[in-house]
Amino acid sequence: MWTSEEWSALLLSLRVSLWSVAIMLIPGIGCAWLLARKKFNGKLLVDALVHLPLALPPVVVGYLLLLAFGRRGWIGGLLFDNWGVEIAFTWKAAAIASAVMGFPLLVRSVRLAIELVDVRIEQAARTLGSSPARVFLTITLPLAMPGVLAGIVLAFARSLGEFGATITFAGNIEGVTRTLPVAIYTYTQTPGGDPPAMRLVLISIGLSFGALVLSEILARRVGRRIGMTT
Amino acid sequence: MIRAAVQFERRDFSLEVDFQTEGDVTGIFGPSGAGKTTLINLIAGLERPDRGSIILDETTLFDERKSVDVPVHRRRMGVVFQEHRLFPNYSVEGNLRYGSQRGSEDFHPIVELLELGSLLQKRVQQLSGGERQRVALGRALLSNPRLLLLDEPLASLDQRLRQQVIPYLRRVRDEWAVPMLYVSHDLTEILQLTEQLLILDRGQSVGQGRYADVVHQDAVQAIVHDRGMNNVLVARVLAHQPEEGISLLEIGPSLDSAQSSPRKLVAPLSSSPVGTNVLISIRPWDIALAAEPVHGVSIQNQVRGVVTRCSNHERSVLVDVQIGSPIMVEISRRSAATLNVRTDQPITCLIKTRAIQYVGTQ
Repeated sequence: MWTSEEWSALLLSLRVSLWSVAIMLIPGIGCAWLLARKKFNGKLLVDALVHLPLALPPVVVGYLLLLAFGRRGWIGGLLFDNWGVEIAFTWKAAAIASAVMGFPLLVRSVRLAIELVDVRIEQAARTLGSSPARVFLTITLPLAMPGVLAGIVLAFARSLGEFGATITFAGNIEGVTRTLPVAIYTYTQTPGGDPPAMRLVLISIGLSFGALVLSEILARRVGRRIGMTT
Repeated sequence: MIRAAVQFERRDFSLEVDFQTEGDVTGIFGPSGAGKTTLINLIAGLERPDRGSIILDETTLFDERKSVDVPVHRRRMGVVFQEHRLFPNYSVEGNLRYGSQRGSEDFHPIVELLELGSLLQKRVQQLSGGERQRVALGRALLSNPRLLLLDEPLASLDQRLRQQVIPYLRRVRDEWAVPMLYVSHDLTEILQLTEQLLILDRGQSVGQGRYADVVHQDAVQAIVHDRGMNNVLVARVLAHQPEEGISLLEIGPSLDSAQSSPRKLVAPLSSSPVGTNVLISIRPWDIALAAEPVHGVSIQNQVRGVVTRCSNHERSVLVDVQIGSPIMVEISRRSAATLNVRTDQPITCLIKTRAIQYVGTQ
């Protein structure tokens, strides 16, 4: 029923989305903690910078990434000259584009969750001899876990739908960077492409729906474990 | 021994205290807003003094001049907060073990001491208020603290639960060699644990020392008088006479027993078994003094004693009488003048049965 092109678009989308979440997870949680718990000069600026991809047209983000990661860009040039690694117009570019676009969603969600963790409970953990890092790993993070999960799902879903930045930075190469939305767009531009486009649309809906339901189930289970619901 | 000389200023509040603890338990008493919690936070390291130093035994925890500021997690202060602050993502056992990184051999003794055995597998949410504070106390003890800071640990509990938790605090005091600072706005509660007091008001130390001594100071009187000034005595239950609605108590069985013979008291019927020690409280103004025993009154207790001290205050005279235990009596200036109360004078304390309240068991 499905063609290999459709399959490859689906698998590629999943791979790109999972990788994008993987690369943004630790910086995202770190950034969220910083914004939730620390006071520092230029916090407003960092906050704005984190949220910029939400406000910018995705094409702009994609183009900026292309400038930075292209073979002559300052990061891309470094990578290519030293290790022969190419980023732009590969699936890695699609993952990076998705990560940048999903980053603010992850940070927002985690930050809110960390802000809801009672500082006084963290203080109690400190008085029991726990270093700040241990307090974060044993108290703050577990208690913020529902928010972290929600953030991951949001970012993942955003990633599945990423189009503008991806097509600018990673291109539209079949089997390499043609993710679900790019593939749908391509089919709609092709005569007779409506039936496959429709099938991919249905897959997209199913995937996003599944992710959201899964996250709800996980959030409930975690919530019970940390005693937020009974 | 902890010695703290600290200044701490915020927009609407300033604290300036210089004190040093003596003995195992020091009670920090004062009205709300006096700076009790701030002082505890400064010692624990949760807040930073603007100036001064905090020294525990020989260790400098904070010294603004020498730029010493030991971080919270290295101070080894066990803190029990007003709210339990248990970790909702751990079981009771997980909470208890959180502070004892290594497998602590103290675990079972403390579980036994605080009777936590049946709670270990429970979740924090399933515990009652009193149980939560017991777990919080156990958790603090298991972190092997050099000093236990108790910040109104009973304030979130109702009266009945308080009476259930206080005996555990006394057990910890007696069986676990860890010095304590005990903060409360309830003087009777503190007096059940210790006589050593630090009295704070509006960020300043008003008095420091044994309750029986500092209470005679005018400044302390001003704070303490309307905030639970009380006599707390240990008494042994001798007999119950339910048909008369009374129990017979003997005071002074453990305190200064060598000095004087124990005295009997007729008290309201007690629910504690014969032979046990109970803590009773008698308000200083519920005791009358007479030069000689009085005949033909309903007052059941006429206890002979000797005046050991008296001090004049704005509204009243405070008289200490030794009746096997020292007891504090408040009378008006006029009464004092009429009786001509002076030190070393033999005197009779008249105490109504109803004036005796049970505040706990020992």
